Amino acid sequence: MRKHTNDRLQGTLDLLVLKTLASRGRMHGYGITLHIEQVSEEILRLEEGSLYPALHRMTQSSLLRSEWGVSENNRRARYYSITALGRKQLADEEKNWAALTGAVARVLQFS
Amino acid sequence: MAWFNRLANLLRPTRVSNEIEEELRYHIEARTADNIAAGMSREDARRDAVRRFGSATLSRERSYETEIFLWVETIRHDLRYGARSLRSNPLVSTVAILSIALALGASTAIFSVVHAVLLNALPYHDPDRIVILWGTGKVNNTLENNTSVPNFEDWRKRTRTLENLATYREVEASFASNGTADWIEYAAVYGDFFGLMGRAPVLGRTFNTDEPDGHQVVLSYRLWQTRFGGSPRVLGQTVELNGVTSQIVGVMPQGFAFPSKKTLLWTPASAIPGWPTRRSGRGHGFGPVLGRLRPETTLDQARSEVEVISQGLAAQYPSDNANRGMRLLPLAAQIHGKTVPFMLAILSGAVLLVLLIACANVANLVLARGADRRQEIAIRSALGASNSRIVRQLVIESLILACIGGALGLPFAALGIRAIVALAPHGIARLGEARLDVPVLLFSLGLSLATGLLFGLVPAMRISKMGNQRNSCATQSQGMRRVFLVAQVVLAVVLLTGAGLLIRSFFAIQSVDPGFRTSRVLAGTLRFSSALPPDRRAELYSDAIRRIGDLQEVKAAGAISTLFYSGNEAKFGLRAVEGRPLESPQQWTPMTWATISGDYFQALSIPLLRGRFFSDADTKNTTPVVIINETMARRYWPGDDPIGKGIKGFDPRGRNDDWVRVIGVVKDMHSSGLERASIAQIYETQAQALDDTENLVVYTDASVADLRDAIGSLDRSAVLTDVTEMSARLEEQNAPRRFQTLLLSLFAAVALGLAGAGIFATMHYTVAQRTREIGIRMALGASRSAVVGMVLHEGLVLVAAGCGIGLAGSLLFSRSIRSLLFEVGPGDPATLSLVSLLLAGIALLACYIPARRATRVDPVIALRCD
Repeated sequence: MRKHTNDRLQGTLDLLVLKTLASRGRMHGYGITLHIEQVSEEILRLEEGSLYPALHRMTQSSLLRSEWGVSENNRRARYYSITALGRKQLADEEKNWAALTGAVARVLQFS
Repeated sequence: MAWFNRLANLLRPTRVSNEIEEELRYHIEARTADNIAAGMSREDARRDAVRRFGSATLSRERSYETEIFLWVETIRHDLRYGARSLRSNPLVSTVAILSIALALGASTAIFSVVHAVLLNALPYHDPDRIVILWGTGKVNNTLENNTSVPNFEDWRKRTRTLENLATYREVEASFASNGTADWIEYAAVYGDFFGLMGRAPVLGRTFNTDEPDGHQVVLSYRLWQTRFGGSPRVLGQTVELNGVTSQIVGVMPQGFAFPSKKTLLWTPASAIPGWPTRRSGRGHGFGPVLGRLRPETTLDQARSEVEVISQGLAAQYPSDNANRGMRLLPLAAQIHGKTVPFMLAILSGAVLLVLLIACANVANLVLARGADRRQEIAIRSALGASNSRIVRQLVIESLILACIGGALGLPFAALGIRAIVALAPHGIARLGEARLDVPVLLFSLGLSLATGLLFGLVPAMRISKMGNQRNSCATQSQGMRRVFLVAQVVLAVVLLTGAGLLIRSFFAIQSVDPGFRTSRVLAGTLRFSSALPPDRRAELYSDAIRRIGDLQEVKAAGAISTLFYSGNEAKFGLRAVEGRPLESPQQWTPMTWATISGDYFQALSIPLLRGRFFSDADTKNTTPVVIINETMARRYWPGDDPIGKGIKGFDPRGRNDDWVRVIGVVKDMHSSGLERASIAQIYETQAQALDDTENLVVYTDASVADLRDAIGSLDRSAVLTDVTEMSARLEEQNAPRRFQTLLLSLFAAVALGLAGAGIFATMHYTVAQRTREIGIRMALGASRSAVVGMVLHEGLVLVAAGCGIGLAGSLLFSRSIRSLLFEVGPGDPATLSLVSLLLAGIALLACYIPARRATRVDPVIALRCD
């Protein structure tokens, strides 16, 4: 099985998940997938299977909180929400991201 | 609380994995429902959902791994899986487990001996800081000389690096308690002996060794148990030691056995006979010096101080100390000696080779089974098991194999320890304490795991790749198996050559003529109370020998003060030889002297070459006379008749200014072991020397009881012990060599068996894998002998390569045991060719059986299979 070799990519997924949960509150995995697709106007299409390891990892690092709940269609589903630690992490990641994209943009403009 | 979640996960692994599954299922179902709502067919919707998700199993496996503590769960799973797959191939697993059990058992047994004898701390307080100081003789090459009491006092005053200084003297004396006479070995101690050792008595007290009244004894635990039944009422009882009544004041704890396990009690130095002269005579050696390194002091600092102090003492008292040096060594080094660590190093090396052979054997089996399991592994990796997961699975199987092997090896180890303790030569300190205790068991477990990793990891990494790239790896693993086979042969050859050389040395030594009769000769030790005056004891000895000689079945009876000498390298010269100039110390050679009584030479059938034996006419009042051996005659009177010549320096009466006349020359005997050349020897007669001649030799068919009867009524203090055949005495001298040879041969035999099994298994698999090819060849008309030849050729080329490398390697190994070789060189061609032939024979047999099987392949079936 291929390991995540690109930390940036993985970091991006984490960032997207954290941002989604910060703005939308409690969601289940499928809901997060849909939200990211919709907001990015289908430009970002997740490899859906890779979402769950990320969710579990972040839960274990206490960035997220998970609990079982009932979904819109009355099924049992696992809901995730962001913790205080997660928000802090999100702020950091957003700053990093802005710095990175800003830098890339400048390079693209001026070189 | 993350850690709590993890812990909770660990406790309910199934629930976690169910929950993960449920979550993933929800995702796929939700996507499917949305797809249907968007107008897809049910089937397309489902397919699209799964495609978007990626492989469900893949995801599950990844999620699993994020649950860090679930690692334990996967291992449990791997263990179960591994056990099942081992059961499915019982023959291969049994062979593997048994060979590893044998090798691990042998390793554990050897380690337990090494642990008990060398690694275990000595039973004294902070034993690593205790050192021993021996005097050295600069002229005559002696290394273990005693220090006199006045010199000891100076050492105690001058040293700044050592504290708690003590000295001791090993003594043998008659001992009586409750009217039973006995002869025991004990130590007379002086200085802060008990303070230095730092062990409290289990009963009573120890004594202050400098107190003038020395009539107290402290018993060893062993003597307390055997002689006094372990009764607490021994305190205050009296015993008779050396004819002097002494009081028991204490009992030392079990295991306290200094300087050796034969030491049965301790007395103050003032209790030994002749103490006043020793107390003040700087020239009278008493014993070695013991001390403890002061805190913050290193061994090197102490050594340089020793150099300074001994030079100071030599300058201050030149008449007694001019040629004296001092050497300091840790007590442990003294107790272990040199030969025992060397012997154990050789045995550990040998057992390690056996273990490596077993490892190669098992690695080969694992590889071979890996080839069979290629399909299973391919399926597992297609199902998403990661490479590392498969390696882990395979390594875990190997670890199970090794641990079962290790556990099954424990009975072998227990048996091995008992056999080693029983067979080992006497006098290895603390050997009896070897057992399967906690450190040894831990070692065994660790070794099992290391072994499992060793034979599991490389094959596992190789096998795990097989799933992806089919054929190239299969041939690679074939190549690897060949390497293992060659390695096995190399190791076996090295071990076999070592054992072969030792066996040849052993038989070469056995065939050495000892120079005396060994059959129908009884040897025993006869003692009379050490409290009797020397002339009375001399009288008793000559009476005893006369009485024994008068027995009907006795053909000759005699006695000598020292029968065998152990490793005596000390050099001596005569004070004067009539008609010759004085010798310089550079010309000195090893030389010994002993006092005999009765018909010693006749009893041992040592022929007289010239002159005469001692007679009743040689007494205290006649000219002092000696008999010498051939080596002595050659040394001083080469090509000349020594009879009647005068010498000075070995006067039986202790007066060294008169000429002593040589009256006879006898043939040499090997008095310091068959492996050592005879040394110059001087014999005195007890009638003139009055020394104790405690070693009886009786040429007889009479029984021990007859001898006892003859002596019994002579004196109530007579003690006759250690009566054995002379041949047994000689064998005892050879015991360390016999032990080493036996064990190394045993290991070599095991190595040969394991290597043979390894060759057989490898060839067996090769044939099995090539069944189809062989079938085609036979269908195309290849004869049976051609097929046999093909298989034999393949096997024997590998074995020949192994033999070649092994013979080169064995030269290195044999060189390390050169000191043990006798009349054979490390590259002895006979041994080398015999080993090669033996291995070739075994290899031929091991290859022939699979080769024969190959010819029975039915071409039709062979083509159909696979």
